[in-house]
Amino acid sequence: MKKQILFLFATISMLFAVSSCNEIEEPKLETLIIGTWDLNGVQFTKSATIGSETISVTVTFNQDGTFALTQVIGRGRAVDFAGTYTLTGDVLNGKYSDGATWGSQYNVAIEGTTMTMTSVTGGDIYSYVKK
Amino acid sequence: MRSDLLIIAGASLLLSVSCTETIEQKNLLPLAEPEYATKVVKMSEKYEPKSFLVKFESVPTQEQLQSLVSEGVSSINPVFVSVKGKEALEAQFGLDRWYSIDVNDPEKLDDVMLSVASQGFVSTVEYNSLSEAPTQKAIPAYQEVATKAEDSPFNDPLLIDQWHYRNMGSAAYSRNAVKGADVNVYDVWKNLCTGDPSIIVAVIDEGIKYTHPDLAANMWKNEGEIPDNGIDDDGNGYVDDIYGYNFVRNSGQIVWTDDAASGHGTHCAGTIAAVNNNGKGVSGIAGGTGNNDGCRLMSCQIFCDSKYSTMANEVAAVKYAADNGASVISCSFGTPTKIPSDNAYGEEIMVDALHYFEATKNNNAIDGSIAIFAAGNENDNFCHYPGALYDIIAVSAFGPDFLPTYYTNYGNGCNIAAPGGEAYHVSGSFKSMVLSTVPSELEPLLADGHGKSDYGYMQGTSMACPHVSGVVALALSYAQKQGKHFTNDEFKRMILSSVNDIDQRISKTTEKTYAYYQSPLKMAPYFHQMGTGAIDAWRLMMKIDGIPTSTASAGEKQWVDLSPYFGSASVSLTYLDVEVPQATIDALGLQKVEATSGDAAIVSKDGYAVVEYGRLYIHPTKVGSGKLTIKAVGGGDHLGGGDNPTGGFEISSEVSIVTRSFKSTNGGWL
Repeated sequence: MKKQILFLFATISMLFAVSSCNEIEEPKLETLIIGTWDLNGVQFTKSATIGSETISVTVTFNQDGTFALTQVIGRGRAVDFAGTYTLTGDVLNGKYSDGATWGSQYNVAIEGTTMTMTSVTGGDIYSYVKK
Repeated sequence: MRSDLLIIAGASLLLSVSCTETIEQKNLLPLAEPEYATKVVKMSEKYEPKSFLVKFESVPTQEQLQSLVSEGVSSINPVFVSVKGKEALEAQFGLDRWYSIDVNDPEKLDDVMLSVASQGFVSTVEYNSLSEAPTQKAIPAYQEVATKAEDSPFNDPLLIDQWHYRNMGSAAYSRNAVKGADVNVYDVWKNLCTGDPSIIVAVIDEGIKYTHPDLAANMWKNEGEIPDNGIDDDGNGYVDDIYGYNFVRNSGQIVWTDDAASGHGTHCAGTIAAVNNNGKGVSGIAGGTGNNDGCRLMSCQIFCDSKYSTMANEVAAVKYAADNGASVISCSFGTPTKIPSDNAYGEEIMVDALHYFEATKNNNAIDGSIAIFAAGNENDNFCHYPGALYDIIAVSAFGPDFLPTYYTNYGNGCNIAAPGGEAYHVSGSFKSMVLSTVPSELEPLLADGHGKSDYGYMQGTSMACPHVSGVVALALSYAQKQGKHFTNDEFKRMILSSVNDIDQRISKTTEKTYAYYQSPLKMAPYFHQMGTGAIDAWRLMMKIDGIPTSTASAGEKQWVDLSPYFGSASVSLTYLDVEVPQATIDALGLQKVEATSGDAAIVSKDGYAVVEYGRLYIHPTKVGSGKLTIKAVGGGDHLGGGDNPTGGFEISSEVSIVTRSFKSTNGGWL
């Protein structure tokens, strides 16, 4: 019983918080993107799935315009990358620290803890969940 | 095999006739040799005159053995000590059928051998060949000045001079030093692994100075044996064998100050596993961190008191290593004779012993064990046997300039290269040699008034060999740590493809000049002849971590870099085949592609993939993933084995490809 009361109290608080937020400006994409995101889905537009390979990607976007990326593709070992990114409107682009540009720019949408990145080149859709 | 040997024997007979006999004698027809004479195999003019080796068609009965006892025979004994629990493996490789026969009169050796060969139950009769003992003396190094590079992983004061572990291109050891001409082990030490006491490396060589201050803590110790009680306490067939065995003196007492000692075995041992981070002397590739965590060294002494070792002792040492826990044997010896093919290599007893060793499992990382041999130092374009056997790894040598050394053997049968050092080359300094541990009791060269030392410089493929042995020991340690397991063949393929391209600095016109040689050494003959490339410890650990996956983009013809699979020498390898399963063709929507380099290209059966210029050429049209298999030769330009001319063995790699709508040039996901 005590737990239920506490839960109710928490829910009311949250509602209050939400209604409070409604009164201020909605957070911008530039703010929402900050944090660490794990790839949790790939939806290719051309066909197929990722096949038999497991892809593990964790990317962190920092406030100062830098990003850190750790990827494990298939049975390979973890590889780290870093670099800088820019977000113009909903278009995310970036450059690796070795000078290589990203393979694609992305249209970004964030809803709650889910970020969807749709590649401008080819239209593949990648979804990430915030840690 | 025997037909080849006959040809060789025939050729040498012809030569001796034309050189030494009179014209009248030339016209005489030689007496026909009996057919059973072809059972007698002589691979070297240097052999032990009082004994020979016999392999029986099956395990001999007492009656059969008794029938061989004649006036000239003094004793008949098994070559190999049988170990309880190993009988099946011994029988599988025929070790239970090898006997050594001692003769009373060396003058009658040939006659007795022929007589034994005449018996139907005898399969092969081999001379007890001799290998030459090393004679090179070390140039001493001293550690009065304790210097330490800022980013050095260990506090061993002489590590800074061990360019062969990390070469920064410093003129301190060679004016022509090239950054990266090393085994690339620093990052492995710092991030991944430094060794494991359960991985034992047997050094089959002179005795290791097991009391050496920089080796003692990493010596293998036979815990089942009580020292000096004259009893084989552990029942392994050897009495009082604590740190290994002295096969020459048939004693458990390893020695390093005998009349013929040079310090060679102790030097090789230090490269493999000198104790790291103990504030003393040098570091060893798999020497741990100074916390009793390095790989262990076993001393199998085959050189002692004489300029030669015998085949009987060498093969007994190989079996001892297998039976007592060694996962690697480091063998800086061999036969400096050009032998055209594996089948012409008549030392069947060594082949049997090596196959027994490699089939013996002494660790949790691989199904068996790995033998490593030196390629030889005659500057010949062939590799010494037994290292030249197509399925045994043989090591050629490069210097701090990342070029082949003036002495290294090269060509078919050489599987991989490692630092061997090169005295006084363009540098004019002995610091361009390999620095390791030596017995301080031995008189060094060029002591320059400083006296004797525990450390010294040597050079040779003998020094290159333990570099690979050390890296393999380190890799086995790391694989165990990661819980990974491989077959022997898989592991050998990983070793041979974990390389850097040693051909990158060799062109048709490249010449190497020396301080004390009048004519420069042309490098062109070494091009593509040093094995798959220069061993790289970091690459091998990465292979253990996982086979990489390449990315490609759908909708375009493209090249896929093969260096993640075959090392940076991938551009110069000889490729044999590329196989593309139908499932991969479907998954990636592969379209047929055409080769541009004509006959030099390897095209898959259905034309969906091409390997040329050391890269894979494909045209995927769908996103997804798939695998294909590429085969190449590790150790020459063709496969060896059997009657094939001396060559390498097949290394194959599964190439995994993920295609997306796009790809970044550096392989990053975004």
